[in-house]
Amino acid sequence: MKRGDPFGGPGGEELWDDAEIATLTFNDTITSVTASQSFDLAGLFRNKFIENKYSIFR
Amino acid sequence: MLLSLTFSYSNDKIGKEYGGIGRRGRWDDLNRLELTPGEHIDHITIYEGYRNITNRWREGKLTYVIVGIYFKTDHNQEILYGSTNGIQKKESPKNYFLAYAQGKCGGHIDSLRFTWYKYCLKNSTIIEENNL
Repeated sequence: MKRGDPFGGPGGEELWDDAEIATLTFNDTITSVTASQSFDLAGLFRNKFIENKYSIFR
Repeated sequence: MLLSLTFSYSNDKIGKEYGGIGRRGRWDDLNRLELTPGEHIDHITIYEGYRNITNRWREGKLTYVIVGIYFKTDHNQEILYGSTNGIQKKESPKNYFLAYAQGKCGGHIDSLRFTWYKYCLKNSTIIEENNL
């Protein structure tokens, strides 16, 4: 078993439930992953701002 | 932007949805990555960055969250959830596959940590090793 370093930041309150993880055995595997997502407007603007900022110095 | 994430496991005991906004009214509930028997996730790329999101512990400040996540399987299925507008970090330990994920969430996915099992070709079973 190999445990990776955490990704992301220090925030967040609700923990992934360790008790649930503890029910897994070595024969249990991930069967599916689902996610919900939205358009990342802030990220686009942020990148655009950085591009414009640095383009001044080019 | 990644809002919530759900992992389902073969023991059917767990499969909660983590993340806040997704539960309150997602406008874009997208794809589901279905693994076939014997298929495993062996590559993950995380995209993380600051976003101005509502939370209780850093009101009015930018919060560092996971904005996107990319999975690839050993059967060459791949899927990207959320945004790639962030710092890119990869995790793909050679000869290991994803066993389970743990993390923290509030309004969004704040952090994630992955645990990997090693492929054991000899007996086609999974073996446990000490933490590397």
